[in-house]
Amino acid sequence: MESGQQTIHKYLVQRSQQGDRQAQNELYKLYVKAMYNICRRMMGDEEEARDVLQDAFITAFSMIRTLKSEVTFSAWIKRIVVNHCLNALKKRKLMTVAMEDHQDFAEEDEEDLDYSRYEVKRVLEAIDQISEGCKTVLNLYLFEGYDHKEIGEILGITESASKAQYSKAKSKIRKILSIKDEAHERQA
Amino acid sequence: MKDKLKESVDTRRADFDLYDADFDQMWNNIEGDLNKSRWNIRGMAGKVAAAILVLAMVSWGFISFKFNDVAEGVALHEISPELAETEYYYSQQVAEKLSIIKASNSGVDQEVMDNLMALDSAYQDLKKDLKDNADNEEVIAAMIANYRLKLNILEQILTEIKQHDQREQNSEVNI
Repeated sequence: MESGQQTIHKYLVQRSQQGDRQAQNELYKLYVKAMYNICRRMMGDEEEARDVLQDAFITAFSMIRTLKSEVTFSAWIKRIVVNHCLNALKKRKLMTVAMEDHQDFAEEDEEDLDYSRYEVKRVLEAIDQISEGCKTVLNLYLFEGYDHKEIGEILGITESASKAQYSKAKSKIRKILSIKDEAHERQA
Repeated sequence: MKDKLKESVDTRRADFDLYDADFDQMWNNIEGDLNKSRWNIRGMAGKVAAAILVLAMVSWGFISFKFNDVAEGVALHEISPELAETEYYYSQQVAEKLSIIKASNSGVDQEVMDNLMALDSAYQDLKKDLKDNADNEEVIAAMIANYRLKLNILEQILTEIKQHDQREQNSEVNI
């Protein structure tokens, strides 16, 4: 972040901590798109993503006075958003079940795809189709920058289970994309 | 083995923030909820303070009516060591709770603080009454009641702040 932007950012966080709603709105506008996308990818559903995102921002602005250092706002809000997503997924009770059928999954020895040739939209559609447990690990690893050790701590699973889930997720995505390729070829 | 999927995402990460929604409408909902919870605290604290203040003023009015000779005040600690102890206890409690509330920066507004100051003002008048009626039990009881009322307001505000914070914490997962 450039220094001018940093100053504005710091000012917005400070004003927000003093309860300035306008400053909170400015911060919201800076982060809402990225945060909504986290919710949407993790929840796999627009309506749920909206609900979770709103709850997360309400929590964040209600607790912003507890934020120690202004520069950590982006990491802080992301953590709150991820927490809210995980909470919502736990309420669904699907993730836990999905997590159980994993453990010894090893990466299949199959040719990896050149994913860069696929449109972002197609990759996201494929992610939407995989099971909750796989998807959660994949999202945290692929998009949110957590490593497998951190994901293990977040989800209460081992590091190797996280890696196994990720491999499983990747394999499923590969299959979904390949099936779609074949369908396209048949149509052509 | 190279992770081609990870590479593919990293090279065009921003493109993956593809999804959109009505963010203005969502802000309206968020703002509405934030305002609601702020007013819950203010409203509750304001109502408690106002109700107790009425009681305090009524008792003060009654005592003033009986002993309306206004002069320099006398504090409780000047009457007896026992009362000094009582006064010390209550003043410490009030100061401690006030500092916690102020430190919590919880949106307890000026209106509540003004009500507390009105209680202080009533207390000063009681002190004046006490000067001429140093052994009057009613005045002493009213002064102690004044401290209790103030303490009661502060405790209720603190309880509400704690409940509010608890509700927020409960909505989070510890990671």
